[in-house]
Amino acid sequence: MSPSTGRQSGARELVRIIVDPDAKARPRTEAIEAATTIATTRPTLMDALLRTVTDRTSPVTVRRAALRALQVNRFRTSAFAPFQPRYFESLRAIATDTDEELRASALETLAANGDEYGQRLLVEGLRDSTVALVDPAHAVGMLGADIHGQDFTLLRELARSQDKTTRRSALRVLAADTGSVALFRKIARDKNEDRVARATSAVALQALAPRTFKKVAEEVALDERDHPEIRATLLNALAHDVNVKPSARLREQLPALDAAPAQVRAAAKLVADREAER
Amino acid sequence: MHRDRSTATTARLRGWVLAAFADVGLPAGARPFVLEELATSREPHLVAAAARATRGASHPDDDLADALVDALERTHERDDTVTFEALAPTWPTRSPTTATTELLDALLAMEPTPPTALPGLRAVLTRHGRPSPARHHIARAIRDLEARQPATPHCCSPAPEPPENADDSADAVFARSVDLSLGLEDQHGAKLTVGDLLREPLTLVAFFYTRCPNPEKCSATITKLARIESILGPGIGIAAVTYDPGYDTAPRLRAYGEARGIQFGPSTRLVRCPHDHDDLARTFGLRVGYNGSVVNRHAIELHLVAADGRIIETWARIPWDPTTVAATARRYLTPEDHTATTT
Repeated sequence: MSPSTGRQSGARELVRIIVDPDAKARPRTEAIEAATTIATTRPTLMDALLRTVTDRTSPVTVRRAALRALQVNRFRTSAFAPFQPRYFESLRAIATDTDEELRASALETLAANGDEYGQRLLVEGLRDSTVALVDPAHAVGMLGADIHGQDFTLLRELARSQDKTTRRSALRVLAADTGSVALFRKIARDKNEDRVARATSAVALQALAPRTFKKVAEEVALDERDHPEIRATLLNALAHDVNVKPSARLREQLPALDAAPAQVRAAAKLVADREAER
Repeated sequence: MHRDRSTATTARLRGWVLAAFADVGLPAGARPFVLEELATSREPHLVAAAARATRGASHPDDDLADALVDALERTHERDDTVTFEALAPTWPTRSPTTATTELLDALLAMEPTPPTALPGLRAVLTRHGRPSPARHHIARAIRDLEARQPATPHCCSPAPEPPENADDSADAVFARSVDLSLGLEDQHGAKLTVGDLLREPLTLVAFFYTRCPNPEKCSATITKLARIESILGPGIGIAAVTYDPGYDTAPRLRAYGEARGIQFGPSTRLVRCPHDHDDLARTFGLRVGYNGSVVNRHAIELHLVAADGRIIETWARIPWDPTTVAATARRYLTPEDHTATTT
């Protein structure tokens, strides 16, 4: 048998096992793993993977393996291109699957690619929890992969959520929205706020409104009653910000921070060292 | 219609309307929008919709055929399954199609076949190296076209009908004049007015934003402006205004321009209009939509503006060529008095 014929019969056998409804899950997943490295060179193997991932009669472990194999092969961009239309069609088909892992994986890829259907499903789930396909924080994070896919009004509502994880996720995604500068300023300055939310808000402010960030950062950094870790975070951000120069007031007050908690002192030293380099 | 909608939703709505032209006929005024999507869109849904729309054209012509073939080439590694089954489809869908399928079907639907279609398709096929459904489909389309007996010799295509009341018409832009008092900030943070920006007798003014995800639009626009800058030399100003004044601060403008070869100077600037952006958008008739503060879609647009704020010429929707634009700009400068030609 020629090597080419041998390879073809090997691929045929792998296809046979992958799609065999009577085979046990383990040999099928093993066949999928064996097929992964050669799939894009064998259209029949790609076809088998694409059929399997959407086949709800197949064991879920087999379907997950097929999806993983497709995701790996997608990195071979040119070789994968002919299969891309069916791949995305398959992802949309499993975006509402009963298996949470399959639908989360599908939605993540769809959202990251700016897919209208995937984004629509996620937003619908955020608006109505009875149709949510993934938890809210996860949905917000997935939508955050595409700044052009946002519903900023909805995100600002979620930024008021009682659930900390959802709230933090919404704030991270709102960092793309110049309309949220006032919100970020308010949160960053508020000592009673969740510290992660404050740090997230400060980072967003730094990107969206550097001059406003500078004022807030200096105010918080010099406030002895504020949390040391937040003070240090903002001082560190100031030290590394190439676009804003610390004010004269901050520069004068830096020596007084020698008496501050250790992390604040260390961050203040970074600011001082950078000023010395100018 | 597009306000406060995501880019993807905007594309879905737009595609739905474009695809409908296949059934109701493609009016001349809609033709620039179809050509725009075929020339620049990276979204298979919109490319497919624009391809469908061409089937509503009363006369097939070389420009449409060329646009379809070019789009086929660009779709090669970016295709997707799309559907026009419903305005908000669910999946799996009963009527899937792809951008490649729609482009080829549109070419096959042209009667008589424009003469550039077959050579264009053959060139695309040679670049599709690997066997694939798309390659097979293109090969089949070529065979179908080769097998056709032309009904009449095709010596030339009828000229496209001029647009009726389209906002891209020359009459519309000649009527527009920009408010010179509007405040701007340039890539170095310097404050100036529109009047200051238009310090030369003529200035080429493009629009862009740094967060644009389509490299064939904004990134290409600024890169081409840098090219025009090197062609023209002094005498004609070069400017680009961001659609995203809240986000595109001076450092971002500077980095974006430098990375694309812009040589900044008093007559070459990237600017934002931080306080009067809505007024600026109105006077230029900007072709842009917003989802909150983020741009959700925009056209390519470049304007030639006189020092008194009159918009002399506009290139919109279709990618423009730097050499052609530079030549047009030079023609408006008269050697006698270095002032822009008045109409």
